[in-house]
Amino acid sequence: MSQAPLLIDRVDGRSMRSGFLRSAQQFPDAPCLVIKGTTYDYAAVEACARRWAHAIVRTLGRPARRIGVFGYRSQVSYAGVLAALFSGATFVPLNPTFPRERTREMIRQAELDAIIVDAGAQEQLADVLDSADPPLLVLAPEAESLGSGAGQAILADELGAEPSLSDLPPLLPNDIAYLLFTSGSTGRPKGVPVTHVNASSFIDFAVGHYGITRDDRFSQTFDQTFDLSIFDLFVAWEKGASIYALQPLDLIAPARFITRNELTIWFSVPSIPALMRRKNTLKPDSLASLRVSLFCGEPLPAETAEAWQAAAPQSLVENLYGPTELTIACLWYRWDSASSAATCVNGLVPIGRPFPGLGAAVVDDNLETVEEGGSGELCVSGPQTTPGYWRDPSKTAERFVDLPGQQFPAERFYRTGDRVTRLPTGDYVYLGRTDHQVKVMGFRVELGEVEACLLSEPNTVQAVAVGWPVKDGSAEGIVAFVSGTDIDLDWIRQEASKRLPTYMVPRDVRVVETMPLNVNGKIDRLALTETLTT
Amino acid sequence: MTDKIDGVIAQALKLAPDQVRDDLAYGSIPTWDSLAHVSLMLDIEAAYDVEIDEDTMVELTTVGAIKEYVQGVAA
Repeated sequence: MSQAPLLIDRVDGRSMRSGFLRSAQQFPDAPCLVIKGTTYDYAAVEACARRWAHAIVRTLGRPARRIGVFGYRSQVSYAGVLAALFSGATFVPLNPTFPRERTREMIRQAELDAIIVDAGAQEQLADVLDSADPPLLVLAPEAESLGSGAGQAILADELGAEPSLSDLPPLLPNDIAYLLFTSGSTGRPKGVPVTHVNASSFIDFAVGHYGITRDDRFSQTFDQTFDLSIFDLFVAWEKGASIYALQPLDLIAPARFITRNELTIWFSVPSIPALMRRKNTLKPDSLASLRVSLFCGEPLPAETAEAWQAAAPQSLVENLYGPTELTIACLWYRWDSASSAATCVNGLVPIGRPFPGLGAAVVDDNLETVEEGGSGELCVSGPQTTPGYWRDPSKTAERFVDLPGQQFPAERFYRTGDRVTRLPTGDYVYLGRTDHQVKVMGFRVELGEVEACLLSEPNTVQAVAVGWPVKDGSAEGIVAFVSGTDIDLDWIRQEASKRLPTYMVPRDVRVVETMPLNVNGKIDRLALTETLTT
Repeated sequence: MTDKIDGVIAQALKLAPDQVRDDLAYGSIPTWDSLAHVSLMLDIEAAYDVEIDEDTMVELTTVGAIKEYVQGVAA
């Protein structure tokens, strides 16, 4: 079928799909995705996404609003986000490795029009859709048939014969491009909507800063429910580069994956090189193909940065910082073997300085700017600051605030909850959290969400979750303490596994007679944590 | 031999010894994640005085495969 002339951006200028469409037009035969040894070129990925988008718009009779993409590191899960954007929708990544109850909750909150599902997630479909009302449209491009309970489904045969959607519904810059769910302190995952302007601002910075070209080969280490995956996909697509998806087994042997595929761009949480160091697979000069190495999601130890630099001497090594609310990353620090060690605090690499056009401030509890060199909460402003939490104005008002004394680039700042200080060099250094959020292998965990789950056991009176053990500022897992009489620990463990992703499930739940209190009469978390070390 | 490797696996994956079954696989239980896998490989290296490279690490992803490997290096 001949395609209509490319008519993108006739209304809005830029959107998250623009870069992919331009690359697909310029380099249709270039490798776009490499998954388990199979290469999909740009033309093939575009063709799938346009067919699926056509099926969605045809069936709904209108552009879509929000589309779930339920898959794991597959051609369907990647092309699915494009199909959502092509149909005029926000994409909502869903993860088949998450407990079904959690996915159900995300689908409930997102109010999807449709869901695109890959082969690996198909068997969960009936379970996770049982609460969808009205029933969702299901696109299953790899399914010959689906079990009952899946609602209206369009399967492989029909999708293969579907026409291509040539006239894409327009997107506006402030439309929501994607909706991600992060851990929520009230016991439910909370949605963070990100606009096309937010995402394009980040993509523009990254493409220019790292000099991305179509010859680059990107790692894809992050689950798609983790916003750092947006870098892997959309920064690569902006320039026609290729993306190499690491499967779970590849994550335990990353050096092998990098060298076999001659990757040029690596992006992961620091926990991965930390594991490589433990296993002695991060050897000097072993990662010669890399030219850009980026770490984000948790504190980066100086020893890890230096070991990676030695393994990839031709590569720049950068520590990126940024919560989902500020669109992927907003501060950066480039490691320098000769000078960086002197700027590290507590053995951790600085989180650096804001991207051009973004502003940062360090404030106290009253949102007053602290003295130069003092410590306080980091707040960030600029075009990457997202609109606020999904359908939660009170939480939005709490975290997205005006700082009248700060006017660059705008008064509206996001309070990160991260305690930092600013060095004389202008670089910010991470000191810890102002609340009870921890990172486990880079995943953000609100301990309140774990505690809310534990408290659902009827006999549990108090519950405290802590990150433990903590090494280099990042927790290896969660341990919990509960108090009450006749607590059913087996029930708690089962409930936690049903409701929480694996990294949030407590590795150990300990019953204490009474919770220790500190001088302020609050539960003494430190005292509880100290019992774990003895 | 089996008791020894069962003990190493049980300790690394935080399992009771009777839960160590041959068909148990990397990623099939919450405690067998990438961190635990690397710890398990290090424990096997220490227990059997061997060095496990990345190519082998990605092969040793079931209890059955680990037992077969250990029998080979201990022979």
